[in-house]
Amino acid sequence: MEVMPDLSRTTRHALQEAILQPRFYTTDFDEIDRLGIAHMQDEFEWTLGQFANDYNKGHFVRNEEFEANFDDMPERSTFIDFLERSCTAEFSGCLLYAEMYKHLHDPTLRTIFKYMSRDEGRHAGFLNKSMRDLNVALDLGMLQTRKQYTHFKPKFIYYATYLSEKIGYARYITIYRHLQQHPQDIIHPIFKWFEQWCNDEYRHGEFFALLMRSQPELLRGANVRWIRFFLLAVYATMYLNDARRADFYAALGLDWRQYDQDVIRLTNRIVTQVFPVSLPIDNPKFYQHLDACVAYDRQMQALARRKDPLALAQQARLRAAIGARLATVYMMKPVPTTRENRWPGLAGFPHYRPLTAGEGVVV
Amino acid sequence: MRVLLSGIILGAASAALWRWYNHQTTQEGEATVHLQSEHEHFHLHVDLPTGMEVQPGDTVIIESLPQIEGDTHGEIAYISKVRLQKASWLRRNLIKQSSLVEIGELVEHP
Repeated sequence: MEVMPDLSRTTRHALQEAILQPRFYTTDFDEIDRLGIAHMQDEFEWTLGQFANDYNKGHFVRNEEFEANFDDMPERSTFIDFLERSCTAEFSGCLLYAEMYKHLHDPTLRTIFKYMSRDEGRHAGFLNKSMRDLNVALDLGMLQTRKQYTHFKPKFIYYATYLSEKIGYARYITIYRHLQQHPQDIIHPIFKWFEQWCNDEYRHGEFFALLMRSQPELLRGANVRWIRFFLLAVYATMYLNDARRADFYAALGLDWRQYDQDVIRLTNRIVTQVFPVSLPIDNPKFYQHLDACVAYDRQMQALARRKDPLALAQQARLRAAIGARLATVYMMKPVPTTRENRWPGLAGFPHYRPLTAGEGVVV
Repeated sequence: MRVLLSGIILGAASAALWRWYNHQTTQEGEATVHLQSEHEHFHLHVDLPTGMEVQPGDTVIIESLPQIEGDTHGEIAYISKVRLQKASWLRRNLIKQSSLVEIGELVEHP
């Protein structure tokens, strides 16, 4: 009798190499070291305690669902692309926070960055392992030659990383809630881990919110323009990227456009916890301009394979058109944060409340 | 003749700037590499020796990286020769002043 060969879950797909190309950043560590946080030390210590609790210590444990055969899963290649991009983003965060830990001197800030690096490294490991299940090996050789270090001013890192963490939370939780209601669309078990996973992202964002609140000049004057710039950069980057991956979201039963608008709405609400303004996403022109950018981007994608001067000129024109549209959105009147529209905090999530006489920290 | 001379001077100046921009000096030393690759953690950090400081535009090259098959079962820490390619003053300052060009990298998220 002929013995059936052991067709493991990956035999029908050749070993694929994923290239990890993390970003390497430097910043002015001395400037961060000069931040005065003593006036809010108790809040920082409370936040440090939250990280020390390590709520997700036992969360990233795989179960038998990961042993399934994923050969025929829908959108397998775009799912791998999603894992690769996510792993790169988490790994880059791990490196950035580790650099902060290595260079800073304030013990509270150092330890918080160390814990955040731990979380990001853990997320990267979980994603990496899921790639291996799909017979995708991460090419660590790429890390051997680190590409050039990019430099960002500390305040750019605060704004961008805060937003990146909060929008990361919004993305994960929106997918999770959708799949909770539509379990037939769960194409891989990793999505079931998103609920607690995204709390790490939210918690990291809380730290950056606190850091910015401790430095009020970051939230007023000319810096408000930078806040608007980063809000738009984060929203537009996501919108254009996700439009290119509509098939992946469709495999999850999501319409990418509705999904992105839900994510932007949630993020735009959350940022009122610290930013004095948010973007006017309820103005119909906001998405009219973003949708026009998507249309221009699609035309650019169609021209991408052509290298003739006419195609290059058309690409330059389309790039300029996207720039003009984004500039128009940037100029739209922002929504000021008021007592009425300020984000009240995440239900069920521990929040710091200032101590009153005779009262301990209330969670 | 004057146009030709101006062109030559401009060309020479551009070539000199380009050369300056691309000029690199290399420092070598031994660093401790920390690597962990398993489902609950994945990281790679390098502790550069004293005196080696990474600045914008620099590149770090790790000379040796172990062949990893599967998990590392905890963190691997090993000594490796590293090369730090120092960017020129011109490149370093251009990178410092133009970081917003790379903003896409900073705002990319999972």
